[in-house]
Amino acid sequence: MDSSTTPPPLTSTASTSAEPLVRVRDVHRLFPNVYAVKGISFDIHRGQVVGFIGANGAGKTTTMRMMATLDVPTRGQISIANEDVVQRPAQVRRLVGWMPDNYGTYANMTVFEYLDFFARAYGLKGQDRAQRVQEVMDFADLTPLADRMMNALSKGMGQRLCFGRMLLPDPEFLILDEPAAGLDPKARMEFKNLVRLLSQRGKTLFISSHILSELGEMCDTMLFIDGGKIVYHGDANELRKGSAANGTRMAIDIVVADRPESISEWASVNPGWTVVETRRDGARLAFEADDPQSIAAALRKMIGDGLSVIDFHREERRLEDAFVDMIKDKSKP
Amino acid sequence: MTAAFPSTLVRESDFSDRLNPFLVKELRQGLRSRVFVFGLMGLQAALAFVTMARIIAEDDPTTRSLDVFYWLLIGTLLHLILPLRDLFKGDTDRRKENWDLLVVTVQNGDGVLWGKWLSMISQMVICWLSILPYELLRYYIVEHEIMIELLGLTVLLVNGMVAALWGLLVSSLPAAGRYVTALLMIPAMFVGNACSFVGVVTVIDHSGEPGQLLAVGMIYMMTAVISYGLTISRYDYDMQQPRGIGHLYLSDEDRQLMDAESRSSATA
Repeated sequence: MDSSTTPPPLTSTASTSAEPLVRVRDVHRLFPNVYAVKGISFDIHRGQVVGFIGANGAGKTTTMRMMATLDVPTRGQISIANEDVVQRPAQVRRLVGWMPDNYGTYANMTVFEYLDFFARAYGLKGQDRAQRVQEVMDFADLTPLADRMMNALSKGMGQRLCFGRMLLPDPEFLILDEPAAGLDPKARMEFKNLVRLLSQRGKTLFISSHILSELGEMCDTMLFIDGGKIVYHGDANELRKGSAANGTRMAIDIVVADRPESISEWASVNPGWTVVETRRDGARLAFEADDPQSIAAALRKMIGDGLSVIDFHREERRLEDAFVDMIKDKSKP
Repeated sequence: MTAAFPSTLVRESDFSDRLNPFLVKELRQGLRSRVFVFGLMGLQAALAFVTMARIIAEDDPTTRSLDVFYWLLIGTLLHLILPLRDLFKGDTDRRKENWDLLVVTVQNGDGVLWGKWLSMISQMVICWLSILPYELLRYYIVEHEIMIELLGLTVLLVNGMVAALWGLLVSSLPAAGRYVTALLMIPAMFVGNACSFVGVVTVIDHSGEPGQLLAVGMIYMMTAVISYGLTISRYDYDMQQPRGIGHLYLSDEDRQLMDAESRSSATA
């Protein structure tokens, strides 16, 4: 999609304010054989883009479905703009856009007809409906596909269509469950552009994904869920930077001229170093300090100990590493 | 001076705003579906063949079997193929991924059911209307009783509407129940359809004792009300929050488990 084209004006919502748009309080979801969500609580403020991260079966989709009024908490309360999702689902549905991880296709239906049908189903009429469908097609770059049959769309085009459908009622709060799953790199870029544009228009987005690096680029807040519990809720950059205080470490990539296993041997006898990943020509290590003096001293020692270091590169910690560390820390007794 | 054009032209919809969204959707899909297109074309070809054969054969005794074939053909299309097309594969709208998207709109169960049913009826009416020219041919050339035949056609159409409601009810069931119910239903539909068709025709024609057949046929037609009621309840229930009663059946053990998790989350 061409991100340089000016999208049509979708209604702008209020910017971040003190009053949270979404309140989740001590929410549990107990299925007959599965305890999926175990007392989670968090707030989402207007205008935030929140990344919701967790392994398969961690409780992401269940939580999102409850927020979208498609499931009901066994205990606890979820409110969106002060409307309770259980008591007043119809009011909540006017505020929420839902994009599931897997949407179905309709046979014998074009892209335009699909959007027109949902616009009708959302109660839009006459010129308003025609205008809105066109705005959404322009925004999601679906206009060239308007007459194409739905079952002839690629995965990326289908995701854009689903995205467009979600925007039809102009919701304030958008819930996207694994929207980038299965997309090729070009489609991912297009998707990120759409998220960025919506964020600029003040929409509040709640996005789940397995691809943490992508979420890191799109989201300003991260929410990690593991085993049905929230294990982190905070700023994405803070998480990436990490600090010794909260048990996180600096990531360093090292390339050696010969014997890459020598790095692991060296790390095993030097306190503060941990091997994260071994590679054909070196290794990725974690170091329990992030001040330049300590790192310079460590490098001097490494070379002094006879390692044939040819490249030494300090990296911002990947969100994947932060997530894994977080899970490990939480699982410690 | 250059005239100002909008950057993109707003596309007008082909159906009126007053129509139910599901009727519009189902008509768009249904009129393009292979079942409808090939059903209608096949019907025309078969009816043309049967009518021509009937004209050529004139008073030959084999014409009786041609008449039976004529009615069988129309009955199969109006009463089986068009209304029961989704019987075994289930309603695609009711698959979870599609249903969720409908639940979050402002639609309700009766809107969904009405739209689907009216769309099926519309397609049946199109087929029904396409039969009328052959009826005129049969009247002018073969000298059939046109009023009796039109009445027979109307009974088939009404029975097709009943069958469509049965079909909608069954296609909304889970897969296992769908197969069992469908297999039980089809013979019952045959009996109901045959009884109402023969019953009504013989009453008008004064050609026999219609009483019991007509009664069975009427009962069959009245099952439409029951099918409608059951389907609407099912659609409405699923349009609400279907899984919202779990908390009513929690055991003490479940409650204690949740209390413990809440305490642990609060501490963390």
